[in-house]
Amino acid sequence: MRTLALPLEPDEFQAGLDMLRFDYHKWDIFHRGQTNVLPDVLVLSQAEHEQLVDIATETWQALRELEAQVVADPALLKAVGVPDEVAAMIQYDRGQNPRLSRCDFHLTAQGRWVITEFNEDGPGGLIEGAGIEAVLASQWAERLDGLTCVGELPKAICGALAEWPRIGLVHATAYTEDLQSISLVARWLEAAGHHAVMGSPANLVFEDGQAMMFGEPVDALFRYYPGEWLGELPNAKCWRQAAESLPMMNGLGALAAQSKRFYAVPVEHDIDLSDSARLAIDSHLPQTRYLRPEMGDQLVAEQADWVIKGIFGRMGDSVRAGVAFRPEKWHAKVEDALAEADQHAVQQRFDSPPLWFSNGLGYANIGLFLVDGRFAGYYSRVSPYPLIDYDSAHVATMVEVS
Amino acid sequence: MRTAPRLTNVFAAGVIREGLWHEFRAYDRLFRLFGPSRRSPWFPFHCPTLFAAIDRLNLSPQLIELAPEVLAERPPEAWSWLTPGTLTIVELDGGLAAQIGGKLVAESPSGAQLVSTFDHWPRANPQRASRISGVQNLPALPWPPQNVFTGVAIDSMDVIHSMVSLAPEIYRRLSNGIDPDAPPIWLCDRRRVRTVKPGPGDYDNRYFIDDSLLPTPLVLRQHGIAGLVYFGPDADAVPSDDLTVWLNQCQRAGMALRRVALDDVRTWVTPLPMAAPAERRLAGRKFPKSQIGGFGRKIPEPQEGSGGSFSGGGG
Repeated sequence: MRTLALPLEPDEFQAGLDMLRFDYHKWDIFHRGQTNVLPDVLVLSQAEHEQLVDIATETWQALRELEAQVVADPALLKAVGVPDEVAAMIQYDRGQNPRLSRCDFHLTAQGRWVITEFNEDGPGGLIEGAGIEAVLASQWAERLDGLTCVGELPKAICGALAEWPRIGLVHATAYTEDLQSISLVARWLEAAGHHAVMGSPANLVFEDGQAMMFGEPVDALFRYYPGEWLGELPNAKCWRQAAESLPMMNGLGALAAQSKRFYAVPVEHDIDLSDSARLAIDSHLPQTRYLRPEMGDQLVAEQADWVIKGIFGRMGDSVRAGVAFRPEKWHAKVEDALAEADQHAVQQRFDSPPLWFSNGLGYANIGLFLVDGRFAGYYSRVSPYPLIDYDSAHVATMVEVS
Repeated sequence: MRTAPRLTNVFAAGVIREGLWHEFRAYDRLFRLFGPSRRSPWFPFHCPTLFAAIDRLNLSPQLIELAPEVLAERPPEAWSWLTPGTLTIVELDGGLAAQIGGKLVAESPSGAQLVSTFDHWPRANPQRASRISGVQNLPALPWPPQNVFTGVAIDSMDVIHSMVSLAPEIYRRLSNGIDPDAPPIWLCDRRRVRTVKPGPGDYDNRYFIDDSLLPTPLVLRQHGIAGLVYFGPDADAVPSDDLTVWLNQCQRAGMALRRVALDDVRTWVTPLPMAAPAERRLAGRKFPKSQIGGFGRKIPEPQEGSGGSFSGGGG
């Protein structure tokens, strides 16, 4: 993996940002007054790309085997932190739902690719992944000789939903960053011949067994709304009915796999998992455990080795890496987490060396989209420190043409 | 995929022929006129969301009457305080903010730069509208706005109509050129913290202005801002909760706060000193928005500052 500064003049790059903003709905291209899209490319060799796809698909399969066991067992759903109301809905889940996943890779100092997590419940990065690369491919492909953008995320999503003509897209309407993503997906679906209806999950109703949004029938849902909040909805009963009868990308069972405690299930519980699945999880994910009260002393003593994660944290908002804190502060963080131990997991930390970008050194995270377990594209981010959060910038990912 | 939209340079030769309002109905032309130029330090804070809705939802901006306050005779030297080094926050109800902001630019002694903070779509149901044909021949919509959709806290169509109605005046002013350090004017919809069904702790929080739309005092200083003017409806108007922390930070950084009241023409000439509003300490760096999408549940009063889960009307 290497980085490459885009061979563009500042005005050309700005024109590209305009395209991203208005053609691909990436309205929030500024963060704290600065552009949050880097004028760089993360370049993967063909071999690296193939390796990442192989690791991601292999691990995805393993996690589906694990997920089947978790969603079938109410005790395991509770153990990974799925709220009771949603766990009850999952019991009625129709299964066989199309699945959009994003697998987050980091390259360790030892040259090994590690997956910190799969985002299974409304993964973000759709605009940034598909949009940035579409702008590059359409405008400046000739200046990026020997490189290509890989994956066709819009086509993959539309293909997975192809059999349902009317798609309801639900999102958290308070968040403009979600609105921009969902409105782009709606455009992709409309271009593929679907009828798309956007709204909040509270707008879903059933009339004579037919799912409706704003008076319009829908045949399937694209859910871009965190599953753990569904139980709080005023129409939670509708969502139970939706789980039972309405095809959904992603189905509610995805919430189990979204929990940061999910990866700890094979070591915390005596479950029947194939050797290949166990090997894939052990090989590609850092060691993950449930946070338990008796772990406090160990976490304090081995501060630099551990990361504490809230089970349904997003964008790094509940990730606490021991290495980032002074000892007394870390002690307090551990105490805080232990007060709600069942809402946290701990994961072994690894070192990931920074790379040079136009704005200096940055820590890269390569997100790899899978649709129904098949590669669909990349979405990469760069952080000024070894944690991907809201301060991270977006960067294009391209692959060397062999 | 449909043909992708492209941003038009509204000031390029031949783009605007007669300078009539209906020539500015395209989202990208309004985005340019109601925001600073790309090279302005304030460009990152100019929010494209409402403009994008015009394109995405097939909205039909229409001519609307101007509010009486906007048409009122100006005292001599009105807006003379609108000078480099001053940042103005126009916080009025929706379309009125757009109309007053537009007039400030058009009548400003040395020019001004608008910054729109409408970070939302106009209605809760983001369904495409049917384009209204022959709209340029229709009479102006009446003011105050009629047929307002009451199912949401903010029906922003009056903002869009007001923008297109003021666009010719702004276009003429900006075509003459403005100084790079022309004072910025933040346009804020005062209705954004209201609720469909008012009640303690019950409001729609999807429209709040978060810190991504407000430059830090350091950034303001770097670009020569020495004072802020709050332009509200009357002398008793209190800045909305989501501005209070920022206004206090600015004051502590040494920036003077003054106020203009729409109902007091004397302040149009000479803004009055303003005390910093009571600080409403909010949880986290970003105001917590509704976890369930801005509908249906009560949210804690902001001063409780505990995050939690929320909500209000609409949806």
